Amino acid sequence: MSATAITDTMRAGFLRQMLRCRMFEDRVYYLFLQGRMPGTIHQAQGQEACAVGVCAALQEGDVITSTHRPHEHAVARGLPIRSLMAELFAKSTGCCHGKGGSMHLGDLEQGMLPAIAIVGGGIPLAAGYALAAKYRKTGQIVACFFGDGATNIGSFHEAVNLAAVWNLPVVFVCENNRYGASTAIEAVTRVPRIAARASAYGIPGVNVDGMDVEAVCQAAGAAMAAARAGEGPTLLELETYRFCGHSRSDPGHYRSREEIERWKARDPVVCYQEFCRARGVLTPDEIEAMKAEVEKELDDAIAFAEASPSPQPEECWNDVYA
Amino acid sequence: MRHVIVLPDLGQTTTEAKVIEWRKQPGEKVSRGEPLLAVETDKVDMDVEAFTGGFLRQVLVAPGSLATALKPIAILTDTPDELYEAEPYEEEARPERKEGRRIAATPAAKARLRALGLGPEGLSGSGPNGLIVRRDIERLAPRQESPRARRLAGMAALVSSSKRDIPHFYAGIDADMAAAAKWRDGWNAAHPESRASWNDVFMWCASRALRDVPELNVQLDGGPVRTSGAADLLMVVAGADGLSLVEVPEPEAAGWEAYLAGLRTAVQAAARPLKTGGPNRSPLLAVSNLGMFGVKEFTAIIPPGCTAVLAIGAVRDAPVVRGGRVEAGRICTLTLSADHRVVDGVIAARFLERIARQLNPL
Repeated sequence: MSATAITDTMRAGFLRQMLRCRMFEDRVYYLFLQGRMPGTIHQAQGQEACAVGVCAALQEGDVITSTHRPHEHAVARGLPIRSLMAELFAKSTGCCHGKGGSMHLGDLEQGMLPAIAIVGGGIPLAAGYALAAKYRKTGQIVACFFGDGATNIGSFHEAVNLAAVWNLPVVFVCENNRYGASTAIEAVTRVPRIAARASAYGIPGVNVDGMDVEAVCQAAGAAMAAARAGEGPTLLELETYRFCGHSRSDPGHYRSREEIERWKARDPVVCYQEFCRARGVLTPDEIEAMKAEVEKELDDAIAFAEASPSPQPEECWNDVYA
Repeated sequence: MRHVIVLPDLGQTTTEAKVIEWRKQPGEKVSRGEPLLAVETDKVDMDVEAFTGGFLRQVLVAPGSLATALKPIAILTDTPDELYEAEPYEEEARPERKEGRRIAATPAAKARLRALGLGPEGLSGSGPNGLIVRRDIERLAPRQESPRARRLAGMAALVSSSKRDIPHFYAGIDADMAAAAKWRDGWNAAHPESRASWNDVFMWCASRALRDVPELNVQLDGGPVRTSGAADLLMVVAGADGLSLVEVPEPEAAGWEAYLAGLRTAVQAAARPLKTGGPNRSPLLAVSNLGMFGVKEFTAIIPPGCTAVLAIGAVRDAPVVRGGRVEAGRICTLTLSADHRVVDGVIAARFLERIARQLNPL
């Protein structure tokens, strides 16, 4: 696999996208604390390098699938922040017209299938979409996000196996944040590396530092190039960590303070920001300006969302196909 | 600028959380994302973080008190000493606040203030020379959960789980009460010091019918079906704080007169709140009576831990048909709710037939 050359322009882009992801999640959390954000939320602070690294390697027209934790995937894929925030507020201007909510973010026109909140549910859909792309020779590839918990779900085995047999243009991206809800990965598998499971399907499995956006982008780029070249799927294991609990009402007491601190010391956003500054990619002032710009984008999106109308009862049957 | 901190909607099963501890005290600086307080829900203990930075100025819910989701629990301001509009603690009148006067407080009042995370500034006391005493603080503190509210919440949870988990079915019978009424009138005339209520009669007969139909005296107890040896009953009693259950040991074992006397004291002494399950040998048949209110008939929800509940309506005058002729009679409608996992319709019918027979011996 050949490594993509990473330029400083790309680096600035990585940092900007990771800041957008992190600050989006943080703002959503503060809105929840204020009682302004309805419904449940599953957040991904700590996993920014995964979403951004993978999405940066995608091309126009490619598609991602996501999970119950889709905010950062959607931001990284480039869905308009206004449409995401409005969806979280259950407003009709949201990407699913306010009827999907936090766990179903997506917009096919923007290259993201609406997220499937069922654990492992998106994996067969990714294989199916890849089959359609191959059949129609569209040249698209699919990046399929799922968590470590999904790798013990039957649909993972079936879909990865079929995608391998049929050489489908799909990259299986496992964000291994070490916990399926509150259950540690060690408690549910004897396999120390999820990437090793790829051998069961005869496809490459690559273990990547999921806290390093450049490493993720390189590995994802190589896997996507192989998929596009007709070499079939790759299983990427991105080793990462969510700094928050599983959902809004989970304080994460099943993890030790030391463990959390150890991972926080490797915060992908903070570390990359420091890397960009030290390398001279961006000056501290430019980084601050970048953050201010993102804050403004979020302020605007929240104001837009709160001012937007709720879906009307007569829209109930729109977009219903079965 | 003033920021109202609310209890986030922690979701899942509750809209309330108990405040365990304030991690910050009034006057302290708080950064955005920093823990402000620790709360406990029915599922989990967790920290509530500040959605914005500032200075904690007012704490509205004391440790140990319940906070409600999305209701204010504290006030933050951007600067440490800006003037802000305080949030009312509750609708009740609170001690008047007077600015700029130093007022002494008793040690007990000070300790209570500390526990509440409040300062004595601006408080006026009702003690000698305006001394702040403990009761002034108690009037300030948010109201504690009342026993009645706790009981209602308990009942809500129990009847919901009971209706959800127990597959109820219902069977009813009209019992001819003429013979029982005649007997009871005779007893009461002869024993004015120890009168028998209709409820006493129904409990007695229910226990005897249960003795005759032991198939009803069983319970699905997680694993194998448990059979109760004694025909004990559980009586549903309404009190000021909601419903209670009174255990009534098999009346016939004690004998009629001892049973009558025992039931009076049991109602007063042994009432226990409605709660999940009971000790392992808790009675499996409950009896609920609304006849004294003139209710004709009703169906009852099986209390958790029981297998059936007998709902008793009023003993009423009604036309009855005897030997093809309509006569004035007295009847009472009895309705049994039973758990269909362990009891079937035939068992329910046999029990109802037995109790009707007890009330109207051939």
